[in-house]
Amino acid sequence: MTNKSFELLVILDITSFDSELSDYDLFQQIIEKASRVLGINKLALVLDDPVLNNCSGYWGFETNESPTKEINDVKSNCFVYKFEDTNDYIYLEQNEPLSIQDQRYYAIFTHSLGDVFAKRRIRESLRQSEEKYRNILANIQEGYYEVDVNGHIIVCNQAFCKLLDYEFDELKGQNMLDFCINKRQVFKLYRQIWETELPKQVNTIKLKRRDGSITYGEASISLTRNNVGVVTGFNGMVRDITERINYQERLEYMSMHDALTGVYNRAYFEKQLDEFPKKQKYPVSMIIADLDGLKLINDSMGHASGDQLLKSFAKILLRVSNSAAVVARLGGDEFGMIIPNCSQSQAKEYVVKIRDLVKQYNQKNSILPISTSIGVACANKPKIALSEVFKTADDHMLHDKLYRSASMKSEIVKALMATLSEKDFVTHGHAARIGKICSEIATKINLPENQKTDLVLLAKVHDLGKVGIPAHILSKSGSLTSQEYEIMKKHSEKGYRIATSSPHLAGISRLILCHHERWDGNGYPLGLKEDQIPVECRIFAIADTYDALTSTRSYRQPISRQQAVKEIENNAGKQFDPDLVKVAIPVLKGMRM
Amino acid sequence: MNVGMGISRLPNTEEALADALKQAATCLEARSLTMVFYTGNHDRDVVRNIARKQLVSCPFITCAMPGLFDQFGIIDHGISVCVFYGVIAKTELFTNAGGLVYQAGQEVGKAIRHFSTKPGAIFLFPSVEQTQLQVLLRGVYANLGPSYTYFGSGSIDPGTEKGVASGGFVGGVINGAFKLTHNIGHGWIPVGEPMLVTRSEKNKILEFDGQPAVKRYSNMVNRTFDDDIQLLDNKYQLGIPCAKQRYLVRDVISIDGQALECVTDVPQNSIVTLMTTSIPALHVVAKKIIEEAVKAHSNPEFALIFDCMSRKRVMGKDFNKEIKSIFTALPSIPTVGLLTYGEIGSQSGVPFYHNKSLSVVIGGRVQ
Repeated sequence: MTNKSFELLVILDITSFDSELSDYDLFQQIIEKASRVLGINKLALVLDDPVLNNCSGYWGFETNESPTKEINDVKSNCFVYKFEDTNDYIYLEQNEPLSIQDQRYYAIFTHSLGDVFAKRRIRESLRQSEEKYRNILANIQEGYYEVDVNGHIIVCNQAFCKLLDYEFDELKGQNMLDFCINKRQVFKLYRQIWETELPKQVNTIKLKRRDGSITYGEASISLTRNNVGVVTGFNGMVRDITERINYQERLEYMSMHDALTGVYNRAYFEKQLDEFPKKQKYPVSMIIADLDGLKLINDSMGHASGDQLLKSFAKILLRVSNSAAVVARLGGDEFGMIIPNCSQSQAKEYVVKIRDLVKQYNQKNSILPISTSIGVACANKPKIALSEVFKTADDHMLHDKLYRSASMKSEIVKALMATLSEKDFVTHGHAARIGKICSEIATKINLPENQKTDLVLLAKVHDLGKVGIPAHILSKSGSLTSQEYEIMKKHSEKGYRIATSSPHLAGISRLILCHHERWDGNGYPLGLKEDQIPVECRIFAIADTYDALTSTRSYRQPISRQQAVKEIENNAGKQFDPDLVKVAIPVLKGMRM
Repeated sequence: MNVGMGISRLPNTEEALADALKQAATCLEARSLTMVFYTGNHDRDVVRNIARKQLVSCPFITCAMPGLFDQFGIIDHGISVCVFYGVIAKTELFTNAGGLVYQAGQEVGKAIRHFSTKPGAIFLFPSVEQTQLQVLLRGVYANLGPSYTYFGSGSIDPGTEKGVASGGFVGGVINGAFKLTHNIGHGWIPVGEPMLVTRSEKNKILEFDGQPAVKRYSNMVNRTFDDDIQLLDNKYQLGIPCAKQRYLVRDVISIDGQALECVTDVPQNSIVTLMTTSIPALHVVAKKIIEEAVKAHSNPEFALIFDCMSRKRVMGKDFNKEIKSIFTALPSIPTVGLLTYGEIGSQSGVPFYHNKSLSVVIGGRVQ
């Protein structure tokens, strides 16, 4: 091989660098080439640039410290090259003074290294730029995706993956359209962007998630181009607006629906009344239904029971209605139905169906039966204002209510009495025994017959108000807490309210209210004393206490009749009317229960 | 400084080592460093135990070699010793350099420099299991620099008085009033067009000029290969250009898929050429190498010859002519000849790992 050929070989070797090696491997490559091909025995590579700093190093120096002195003292066997526009340099040293050829080799070698470092700087700058871009994409809350011209997903960020609930590996290569609910619309949009080359904003794009649920996005889509400007696909930014859309839908629903029953509300009903003539689906019938005795239920059994009744009735109306009908709750206990294409006679058939379903319901729910008053009206042609039809139906309903009122309330009270009996929190026979004692005491004091009758009835229904007391308090075997006792005390008032609703019990409603008053004024609910307390209640108090003391209770054993009589004597003038106690003692002593 | 050398052909290991040491006992001074080279038919552990017993407090190096030789020819069963007297010496051992070869070399270099602040001679014997010998030498050199001289060879089971360096390497450093001259060469010449190593991993070349290495190599030598690269290594080797228009020869030892496996590392992005030779050319170069080394020393008192095992394979029976050429060129001084697995030496002060080369160290007191 000639000198020229060898020189070419050397030049080829010293300019063949792999600029993509790690910092460590690049330094090794530099030492290897410099020592083998150039014959150097010392090398210092000083790179201040942070990008290249890790490639720095010293080789062949007999010191661990930076051999600055040695490097600064440049002799004929040394070569120093300062890299352009930097403070970086390389120091090379060989045994013998540098020949012209050596200097040529060293210059080529160091220039080549300069190119390698420049490439690394550019690559690092690109890497940092890409990393920055990736970080931005990774951290933004908007979903970002890129698809090819056929719509296949090439890249997307974490937010986009989260939007669809997939991992990137699962999305990669999938067609974006497969995740769109309205593919045709989205395809059209992409075609417009392709043709106009202009970005498009989409207010709402519906996307299908992994579990089939829909997510809503606000998207901005534009063309993706390569570095020579050729269109390679599309890219989009998608903001998740599902929460906003759901909130809007919820608000819209709430503005039109009754929160308790789920049927439409009065606002929607009235809007329908206004808008209906435009739709021209005549004849139009209207049914107005009102739940009877809801207030009585709420007062006696609590609002939860009243609410349950409303929900059950709404279900019945929805079951009866067809898809075109509008069922709405118009007020506390009033419901309305607008039924298009429905004549008066057909509407009456609806009413029959409603009453049948109510009857079925009551058979299954005797404790809390539904009682309803219903009115019907019909508009055969658009000229008749629906507001008038509504008024007519409402009048009919009120008429029905008036007609049913007395019997309805009795029915309710009857139902409540049945409930009281079913709950059986009063010891079996308690009412009958008290009734007997009361009757004998009343006879002894010559109580007029009508009062005597009321007293016997009081003995029977005095605890009616307990239907509205929670079961866990009623059935509690131990002592009541003060809070529970306060709730329990309300049964007098509840009983009073129920009784006033019933024609049969209205006469003794005040007796029910006062049956826990004490002679000394320490009773409840009114704190009446002495003669302020109706005489029937004063008699009842003695009889009730005597029976309670001599009967078995879940929380205690009975005491003897003598002890009970003694107890009543002891409380004369405190809990009981002292005169009545005197009359009652012989009666009680002579009782054979 | 005194140097004693001995070679024994006695079959019994204990007797052979005692015999060699007796021959090497040239003065009454205590031994400073003893290098024991033995053929593979002596048991390693027996050699080491006896060395421990006979050398007592003297640091020593033990290496198995594929053969020994003296002026009478090849010794297939023998032990030779090289004993240094009156110098400051120390041994270093590094076991299994693993993946951090350069750093392992650096550590040893630092340890040597810590021991020997004055420049000296370093004998390095890496294990042939190590596939990155050149990286290892660069690491050793990194903190020692050109003030030290480096000699040695690849060996089997290199060890010191501290233990055996499986997969690693051992080193011995000496300081004293002596001068060592050194020369190394091979006699192989480049043929054909150069090739760029576009991909390599340690001692495997995966690609030449962007093509699979075996395919490109086959085209270059105009032959197809199965797995029988052994037939080839007599004719074509690879050469990497070095300073002063020299080449480092790299033995191709096997084919691994589309990769060529060499004795040691071939750097990625280096240029290689095919190398070839003839037996007479090898003999001529051998004589020249010795003559130049001897000429460079004013007081030659002993010689250590490292002759590559694969040169013997290339020459066959003609290897005896190489031995004759070597000893003809040498003055009548104690000499130990070793057949080796790669030779360590340098021209520019930086140690390189050579293949298919002859390396000589001539030593003597400074006058």
